[in-house]
Amino acid sequence: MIPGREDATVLACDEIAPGVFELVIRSPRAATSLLPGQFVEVGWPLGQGPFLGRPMSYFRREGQSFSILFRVVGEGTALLARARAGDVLWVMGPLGHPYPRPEKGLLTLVGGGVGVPPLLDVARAHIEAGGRVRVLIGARNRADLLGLAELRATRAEVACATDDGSGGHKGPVTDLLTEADTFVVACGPAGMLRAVKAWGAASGATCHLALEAPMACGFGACLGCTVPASEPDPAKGAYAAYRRICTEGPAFAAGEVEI
Amino acid sequence: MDMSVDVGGLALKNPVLVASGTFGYGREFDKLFDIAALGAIMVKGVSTLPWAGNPGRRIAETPAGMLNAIGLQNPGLEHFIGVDLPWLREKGATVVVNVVGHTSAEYVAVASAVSAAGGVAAIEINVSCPNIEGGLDFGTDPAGLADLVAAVRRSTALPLFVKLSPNVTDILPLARAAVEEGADGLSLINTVLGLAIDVEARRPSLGHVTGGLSGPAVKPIALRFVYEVRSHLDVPIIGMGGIATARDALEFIYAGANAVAVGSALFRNPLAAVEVAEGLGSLMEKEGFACVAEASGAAQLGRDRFGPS
Repeated sequence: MIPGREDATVLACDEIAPGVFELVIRSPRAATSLLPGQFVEVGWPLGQGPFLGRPMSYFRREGQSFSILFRVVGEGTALLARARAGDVLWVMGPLGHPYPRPEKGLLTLVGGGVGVPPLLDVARAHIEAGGRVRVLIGARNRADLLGLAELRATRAEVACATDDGSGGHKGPVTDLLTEADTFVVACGPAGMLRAVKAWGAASGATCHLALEAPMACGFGACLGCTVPASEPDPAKGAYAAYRRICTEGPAFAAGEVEI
Repeated sequence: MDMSVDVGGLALKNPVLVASGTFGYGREFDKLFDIAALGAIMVKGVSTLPWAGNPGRRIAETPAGMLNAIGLQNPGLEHFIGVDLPWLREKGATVVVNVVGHTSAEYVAVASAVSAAGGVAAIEINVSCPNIEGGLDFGTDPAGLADLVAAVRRSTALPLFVKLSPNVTDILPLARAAVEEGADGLSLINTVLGLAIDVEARRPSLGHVTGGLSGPAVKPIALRFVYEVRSHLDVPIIGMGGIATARDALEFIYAGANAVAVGSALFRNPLAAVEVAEGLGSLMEKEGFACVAEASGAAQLGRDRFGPS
């Protein structure tokens, strides 16, 4: 489905963990066309907020609405966190490609911090298609482990790791990867993604990394969200040195990009 | 309301263009609306060879705008003429080719090749990109700019526009140099050189350190340049810098622009230029104008109000 832009109405905004908010938006076009792993840009009417929208993965999706899960890190997310039912925003989407999945068998999803939300629908889709899903969630502490209940409800196997040991394994979430994990998609902080890439290179597993970057447009026009390509197509010369996270991604084969 | 306008020999069906670097070569937008409906598409800068663009973070949002340091990433002349231009022609788009280069010879090579290729309505030379080595050199030195414009002028019979930089103390010597060497019009303005700091990292936010500021934040700066150049020179002007609404566009026309371009606003609303064109027609009609030319410069108080120069 080609992206489109529509006015969207806020239905609810709740703090679900310290500093982490779930914003539910009525946005029929996006809600009914988003595929697992795709994202949207959410923004404000001119003059009522930052100039640019914010690229956001979706978390839950139901009927004509969807939700986004975000941590307050700056002015934009602070303003989104103050949204109230009835407020009007704009939504542009669906953007990017869906996450890759194996045809059958085990899909392992690794999520760190606010990298967890997009994994929910990916897990559900793979289970509905008859596959098996293991979700490995990492966070600083137990309170920051996001989406546990929702992920468990999909019948995915869920394992956790925290930096301080207050929830699940004490240590990096990548410690939970095992030989059985042969098709991995990871979304989270750069350090976690680099660890997944290194583990994939050593184990031979197929790993995909979902990336993020500041974006102006989200639909491929501004060239602001590029990532260096590992093996640029020589036929395309210097132009192929970078790939657009918004358009060629957000998930890339681990060997395809330099992070 | 007659929206058609002639700007220095560039015939436009309406006076709202899209600014170079904010519209790629049109493909991302073609999925959303009929790109032939735009006044013209000022395509992303084209260089002789493909350019990779800048490493590191390329975008930083700022109050009412954004900084970019893309570095003119583009697929090069051969790809543009072989792939993008035929596609744009097929779509029926009015195309203004933005030309970039490191040397006068590179500008000439691109300008002459795209002129020979056909299907191009005008050339715009970018002498004001703050994001490449030497990118501002042509645009800040009147003698260097004169030589460049003269060389490009000899290489093309198409309407020739020079996109000037706001990063100068006095723009008039540059505007005059461009016009005297045969430019048919001026694009005012390119981005304003700026910087953002990442407080947590204690370093500049952008990989390139500095970037070009655009968006509503630069609108007053752009309006001043349009007004000033119009009050001193009788040269067609395409005004740009922070236009997001029809009212913004009308401000540029009143200041002295003959046409306008929508830029960064396309990133938050890809339909912005279409909406500005629609709204501008209604606004000008309401104000009693029969055509764009009548409204151009309507706010000018006369040369003496800007001092001798």
